Amino acid sequence: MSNVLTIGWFETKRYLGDKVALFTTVVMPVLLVVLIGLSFGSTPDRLSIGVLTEDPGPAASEFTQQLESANLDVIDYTSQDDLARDIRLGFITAGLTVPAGFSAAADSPDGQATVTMSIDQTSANGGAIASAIQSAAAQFAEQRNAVRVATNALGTSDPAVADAANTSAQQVIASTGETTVDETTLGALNESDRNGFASAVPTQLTLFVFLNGLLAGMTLVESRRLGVSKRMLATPTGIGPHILGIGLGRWWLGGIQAALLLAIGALLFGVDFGNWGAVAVLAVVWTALAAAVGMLIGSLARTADQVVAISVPLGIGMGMLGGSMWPLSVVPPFMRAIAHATPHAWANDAWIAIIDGGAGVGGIATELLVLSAVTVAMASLAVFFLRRTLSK
Amino acid sequence: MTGSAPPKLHPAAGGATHSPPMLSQALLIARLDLHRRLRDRSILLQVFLAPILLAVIVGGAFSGGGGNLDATIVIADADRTAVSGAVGAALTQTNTTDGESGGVTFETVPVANPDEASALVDSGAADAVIYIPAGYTAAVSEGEPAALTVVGKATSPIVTGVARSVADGINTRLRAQYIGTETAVRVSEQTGIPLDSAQLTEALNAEDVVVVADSRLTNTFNIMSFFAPGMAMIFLFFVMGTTARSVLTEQRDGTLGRVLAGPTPATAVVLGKAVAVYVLGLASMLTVYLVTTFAFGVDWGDPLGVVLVILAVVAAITGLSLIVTGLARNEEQAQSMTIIGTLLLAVLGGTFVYSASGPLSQARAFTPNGQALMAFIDLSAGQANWQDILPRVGIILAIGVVSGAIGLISIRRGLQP
Repeated sequence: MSNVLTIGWFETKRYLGDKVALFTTVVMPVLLVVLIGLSFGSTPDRLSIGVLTEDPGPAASEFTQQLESANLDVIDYTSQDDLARDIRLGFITAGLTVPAGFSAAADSPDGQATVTMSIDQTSANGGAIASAIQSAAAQFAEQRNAVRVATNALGTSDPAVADAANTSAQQVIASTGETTVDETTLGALNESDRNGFASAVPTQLTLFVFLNGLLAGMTLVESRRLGVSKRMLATPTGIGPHILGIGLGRWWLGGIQAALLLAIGALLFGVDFGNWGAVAVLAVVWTALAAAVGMLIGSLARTADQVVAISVPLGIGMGMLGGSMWPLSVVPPFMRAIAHATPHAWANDAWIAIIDGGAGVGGIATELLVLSAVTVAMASLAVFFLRRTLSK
Repeated sequence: MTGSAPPKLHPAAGGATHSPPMLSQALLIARLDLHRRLRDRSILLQVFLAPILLAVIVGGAFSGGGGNLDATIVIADADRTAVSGAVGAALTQTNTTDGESGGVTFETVPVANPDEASALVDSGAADAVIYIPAGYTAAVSEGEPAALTVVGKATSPIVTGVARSVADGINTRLRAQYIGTETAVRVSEQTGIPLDSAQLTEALNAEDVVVVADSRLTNTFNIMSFFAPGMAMIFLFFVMGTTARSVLTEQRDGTLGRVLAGPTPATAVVLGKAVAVYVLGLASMLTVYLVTTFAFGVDWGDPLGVVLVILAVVAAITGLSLIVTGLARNEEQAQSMTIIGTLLLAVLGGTFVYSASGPLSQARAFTPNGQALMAFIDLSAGQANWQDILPRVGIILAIGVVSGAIGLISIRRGLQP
């Protein structure tokens, strides 16, 4: 056991001396967490709509102001192309074009002002956003509509009647009781809905600890190339402790990385991780798993270049599949099923259970069991393959 | 330097040029280098397979219309009048009937009190409820104050917001009926013009002053056309770090020294390796472009524009890889600088983050891959043509030229005996 610890300690010391490695372990994940946390912030609470106003008139600006108070997140655009692009990209739910001549049409006795709502052809949100826009349009045109109803109902276009209607409509509106909407919400907001960092920290931790663990395979390849591994085979220490030692070094490093990210999340960005016992156990199991997979790759790859060539696409791909780049709640059910072929999905499920569901160790037992089983399997395979490679 | 004189046209060759020795040397080195690289399966994995595979994962993940709401809003009717019934019926009519998933589905449920309405949300039967209290329509039709209640979940604020908009719409519509009628009655009394009830109904049902027209955008954007080129550029940069390593390896093994002892200038060696990397990069990006277009039906937009961006961004990435070659003193350093550079470019260029807001959207503009991503987005989602993206192509090329020049100078300096 002490052999394993000694090898592990030397591995850690060697790694900590490498400034570049430190950069990828420490600086990069922190930078990513900050950027992603800031970019996504908290869950949006309104549908967003891009508004392109081609009419400089007062009625047009009155109308767009009305949109702001209609539960829509209004973003101004100056070009139709940009508007269409961002709708297609899904950055905004819909676009609304207020055409030139809007004000003139709205203010003329019999004109009709048409605004055009643009929405992606695959979007199912059209109805929801249309009702919000229609509601805003009706509120904007309340007095104008009343005048129009009165003059049409009386079948006259006499300006004097229109004037009288205008005055009456104003009076009627002033004396009409307010119609309001009371809002009650049930339940409490999840931590990850409130604080963007509550999802950015665990998902980036999963992604980067794993990626760094995979790249640790390079150490094993180097040790094989230099003949260290073969010499170990000849010593009483044996190959098991050798690979465990290297893995242990990476495990600790993963632990440092995880601890750093969690500390930054909790202290700097105010994330409430809930049950710290469960957080610690999950982080320990995850870092062990990452190190084990790294050892497996290290025992299979022939060159350090190969380790990199395999690790980067594998780390990113599994992160994407497993919900480290976007939550699995947004993907279709079949992708969610496929996702659980990656350990990432189990780890991310466990993080959500801890942070949003307040789960303790017992609450994530299934996930921990799966992750531990994968770790043991990977470590055993690593020892098996390394022994086979070295005996050739 | 032997090849500094400009190439001369050979009249007998019908306009063909005689390559100056340095250029042909560089091309020979490029060919050999390329040949060697293409034998390495891990490079093939990174530049051809990985970007396509990752793009497929993204395509699968977002195949279900990820941006669509999928919610049930229940109209809980305790008023039970003809008007409140009509309100519910009008809303359920807007439900999509073509079996398409997602979107907001309206249902009407008669209830007796607000607690029953809340229970619908609590039990999960509804994502949000619009509660119409008893006496609501009577109050609105008399111009009295009236209130609807929206009950939603704290965890789905957007759905609650949509329910609120719908409730606002109900209020506004009924209120407008009252105000229109009341105004018409008053004007009729003032002017003595008789008010015909049929004409009033017609006027109330006529279109509003402001009409909302619905238009659907065609040429749906496929999220793969964001992630595929993004990933391809990142892997490309990663692989290009191998230029640095191949120069340093040759330096270590002494083969470079032997080459330089001959008549081959250092510039030809570096240029040759850069050309090899450029061709490899071009092949990678074009493969990703063609495979996603033809196998997955992704529309990247104006092909000329796409090719221009690819040509420029591969040049920029080649330039950056030359800087790594020039600065790295040994293979390990080259490897580390490549990893850091790749990750920085990936993060700052916004390869992983599909978002329009936040500091990332600004950082993107300062990286060649970020600029290229924006150009690809303009071409695919914005339907820009090749002229529109020329400014971005110019910026990307400038990054390539400047970094390439810095790289070449520092490499030459390093290779001087």
